[in-house]
Amino acid sequence: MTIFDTMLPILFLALAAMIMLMSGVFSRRDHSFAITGAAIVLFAITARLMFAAPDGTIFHGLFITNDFTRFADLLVLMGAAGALSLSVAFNQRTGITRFEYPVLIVFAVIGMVVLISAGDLLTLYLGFELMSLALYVLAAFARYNLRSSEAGLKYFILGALSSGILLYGISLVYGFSGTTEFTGIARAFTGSASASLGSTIGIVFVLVGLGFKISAAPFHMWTPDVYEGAPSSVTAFFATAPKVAVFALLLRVMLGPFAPLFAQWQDLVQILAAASMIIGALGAIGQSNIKRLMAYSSIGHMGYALMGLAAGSLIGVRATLIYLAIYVVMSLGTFGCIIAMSRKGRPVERIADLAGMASEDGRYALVLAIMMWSMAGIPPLSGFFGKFYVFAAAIDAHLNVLAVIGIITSVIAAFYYLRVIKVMYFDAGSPGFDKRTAGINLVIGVSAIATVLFVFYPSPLSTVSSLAAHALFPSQGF
Amino acid sequence: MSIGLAHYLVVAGLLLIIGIFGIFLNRKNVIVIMMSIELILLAANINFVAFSAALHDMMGQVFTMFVLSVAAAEAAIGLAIVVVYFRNRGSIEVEDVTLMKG
Amino acid sequence: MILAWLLIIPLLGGLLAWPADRITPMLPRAISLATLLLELGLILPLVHGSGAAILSAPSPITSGRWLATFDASWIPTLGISIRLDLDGLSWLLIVLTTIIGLFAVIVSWREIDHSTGFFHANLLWSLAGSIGVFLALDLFLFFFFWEVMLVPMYFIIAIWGHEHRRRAAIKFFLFTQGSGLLMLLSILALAFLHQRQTGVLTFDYVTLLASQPTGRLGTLIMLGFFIAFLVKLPSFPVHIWLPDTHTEAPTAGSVILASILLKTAGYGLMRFAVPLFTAAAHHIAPIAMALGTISIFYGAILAYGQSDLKKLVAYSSISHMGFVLIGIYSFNALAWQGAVILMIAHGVSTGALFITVGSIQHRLHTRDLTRMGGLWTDLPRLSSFGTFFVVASMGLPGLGNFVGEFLILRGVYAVSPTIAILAAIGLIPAALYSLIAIQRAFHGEANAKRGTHDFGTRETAMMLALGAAVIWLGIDPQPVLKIAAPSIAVLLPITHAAAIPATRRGT
Repeated sequence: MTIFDTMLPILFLALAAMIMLMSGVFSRRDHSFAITGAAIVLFAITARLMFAAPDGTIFHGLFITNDFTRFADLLVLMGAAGALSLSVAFNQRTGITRFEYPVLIVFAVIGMVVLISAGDLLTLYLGFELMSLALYVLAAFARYNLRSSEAGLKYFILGALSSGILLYGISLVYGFSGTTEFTGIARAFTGSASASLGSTIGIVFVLVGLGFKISAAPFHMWTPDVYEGAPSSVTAFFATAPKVAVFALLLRVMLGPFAPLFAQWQDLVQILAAASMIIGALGAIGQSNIKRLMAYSSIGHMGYALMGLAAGSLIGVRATLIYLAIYVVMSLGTFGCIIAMSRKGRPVERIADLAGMASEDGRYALVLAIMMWSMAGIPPLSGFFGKFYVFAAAIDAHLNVLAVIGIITSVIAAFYYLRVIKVMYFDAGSPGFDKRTAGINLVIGVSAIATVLFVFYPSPLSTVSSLAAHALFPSQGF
Repeated sequence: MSIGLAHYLVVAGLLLIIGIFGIFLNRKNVIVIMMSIELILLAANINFVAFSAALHDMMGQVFTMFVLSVAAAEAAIGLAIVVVYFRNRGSIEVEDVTLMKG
Repeated sequence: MILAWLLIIPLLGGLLAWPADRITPMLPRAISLATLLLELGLILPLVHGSGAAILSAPSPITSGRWLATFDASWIPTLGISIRLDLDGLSWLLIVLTTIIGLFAVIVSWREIDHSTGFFHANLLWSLAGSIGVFLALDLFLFFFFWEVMLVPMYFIIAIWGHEHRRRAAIKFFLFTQGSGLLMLLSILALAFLHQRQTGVLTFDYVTLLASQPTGRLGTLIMLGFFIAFLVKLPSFPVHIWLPDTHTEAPTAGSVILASILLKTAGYGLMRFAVPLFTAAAHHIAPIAMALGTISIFYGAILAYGQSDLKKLVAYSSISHMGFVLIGIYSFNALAWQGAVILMIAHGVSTGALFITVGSIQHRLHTRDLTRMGGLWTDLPRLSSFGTFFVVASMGLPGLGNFVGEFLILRGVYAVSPTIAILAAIGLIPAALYSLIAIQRAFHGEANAKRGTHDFGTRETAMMLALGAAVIWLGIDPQPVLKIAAPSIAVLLPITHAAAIPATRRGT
């Protein structure tokens, strides 16, 4: 029964997704609202089941669950549930309410759970594709909107290219290690003083393929366009769950099967991290569209999170996990604010549209200001602690240059986050936004409170992420 | 001359390069891009089968089966998106896909 | 627990003051006044009774004889705790912070007339941040408060400042933020270095004192602290944010900036940058002293060339802080005493000067010296107070600033006569710009008849109190010296024991 116990959460999720799909297809009336609610409840139940499911390696190592995967799964579920609650109002306003929306998100989440728990390159690829295929459709979800369909097209082309490159890398790794199982690959790579050219190329290709999905520079070029073009509700989802899932997988792959070749890929990850931080900081300057701004901001955030991977240590993994958790909460809050930006039912996206927000709606301005300060990494907000942990990991691993780049870019980044605050508080204007719905209020309220109060109670997250990180380094005692 | 593993790998490598260049140099049509993507997947498949034969390990061939089916799904979704785009834009010229500057 | 209350009270006061302006704009003012009075009532008694006994018996820092302590767990996985400790030095600076805070509230009574609630919340929070800086003895916590001071200050400048306030606020923010993060890297490096040596990860100041990194690594780590404090002090060449920020900030903002925030840097040097890295601090001492001397001259000469009265005061601050810098890096007890006195006296006199300039601007709607002149006939009380404080900050014997500068020069002379003489020469341009400022602003022909009113009772009382403080510091600095002495005795010998090269001790 252990197989069933371990699989229970994902079986439940998959089965429920099918039922949701069928009920949507065969019912005459439009049930999209009910299905969205059901999906959120579904995520909550799945999260509960995740806690109950035992650790295990099943199907001959194809599927693995432990504290690490559980942590990442919960983050993904949280991000997806948050994005889904934000989506209702937006989809209604823009006329893209359809029952496929929650169903696609559930399918994407199934892909992410498989991805996170992959113990074999085969499951990795299948999870990756299941997630990606759903995401392609989501990006083009507003199908009568040219921008959305263009975003979908671009995302599809570059996403398919990246999964092709990933697959080619997988094939090389398979060829040069003789197996697709993670533990087997690690065994094959151990002992070889220097990696063969083939396996090095394979690892680089895998890194590139995954780098595309987390929008690490220099593979970030799709991000601003897709963020801007896709409906805001979809962007909110893109910014949270998939990033966490692919990042969790990246940690597991790089520090699992590819760990013996750490010396080969550490520099590469450092370059990715530095480039992402720099592009994220410089690209955001001069953006007038707040979604494009958030795109560059997320590129930068991925750079900081990559610092933890570049450290390659237990502290580094813990730092990355903490960073991702904080990032998800901040992103949900920010996108909640962005989705609330609409005038007479039409979404507005320019930063200048926020002018005069502080005097018109003080609470909204305060929440967005908190998010911006936090993303800039200013204490006492949670974003500061995220940066603190990754800088600590980088210094611990003697990545001093990377840490200094991180400092410089975070100062530059603070500049454009401040600009949003400046526009809201000091520029004259009258946004006249529509009334916010309860779902948006709930999400931005909760994330603002979490961001502010984290300082008083940081130990749970740090303890839990320690547990998760230890699952990745079984040899190191707790 | 006997055909060995290296030859297969070279062919696959060439296919990969052609595919990547096809995506980045192509200035005409989105369909050509989708064909290039198929080429890349094909290159990976050749690798898998070649390695599978060389290693006497079935996993590579199993992998290929999965890749084939996933590629079909991917192509279907890709074409669907292209159709949606064509309806809105009236063209699938690569040069026209520039509403947002990246 | 009393130390935690010192932080909680202003934080809560700020939270209360924020929404209070919906009831009446007066309420936030009253709340911050009450908060700061309460704070003062809490802090003042701490040096009496058992506190006096502790101060009279100096003991090594590790024995934990503090006036008051507070320790609570925060992030145990990283060895970070909320550790607050109060000694004489912190006590003096916190008292200064609270009193200057009170004056800042009083000055803004009339000047700030829109969103008073948010203003007073920010004011109280920035004060809470600086009190936290003076109390924190966990390096992470120290950095935390160091950054927390920033955000409220940014708002104070950006919302209630003058014409170019936003640019100034952003400049201020980016400068301090960037240098602060550099310090964070150093803190992390120090903690991990200590972990490698002992296997214990901790950010506790007293524990890390034992670490004392040397060599190139030690110097690099020390530089992170040093640069952060240099920016905040500010010293040449990283002072460029100061004149703009001062000029654009509202009066209360300038007062807090000059009288409190600059002092956190001096405190940081004395408490952290020197004792944590005794050997490295000794290496850097010649450079630090050179920078201090340059600052003295640079600030004085640029002050001389200013026609904007507020900018003049700002540049004079750079000059005075140069004295503090050379005093600290002379590693001489006398000079450190002087530095403490000068920080307090400068806090009082410069605060008073900014209040005067603010009052002039409020009445004449200009800070331009060329458009003043002859103020004495119109505003006799304002002008006499102004003259008094300009002379005080120039270092007139008998007043607080003189005592500080004199002690610093005496102390520095014992270590490096050259620097002492150079610094003393630096007093000449100081006298020049001070006298010229007095002459241009208060004397001479009145430009035009201005129908303005002189200082009222509120302002006169405030200036009298500040003036009395400067005079008292000048005539009887002994109580202050006595309170600061144990801290200095504790912080300085550590320097001597490890740092002074054997060759020098031999000769």
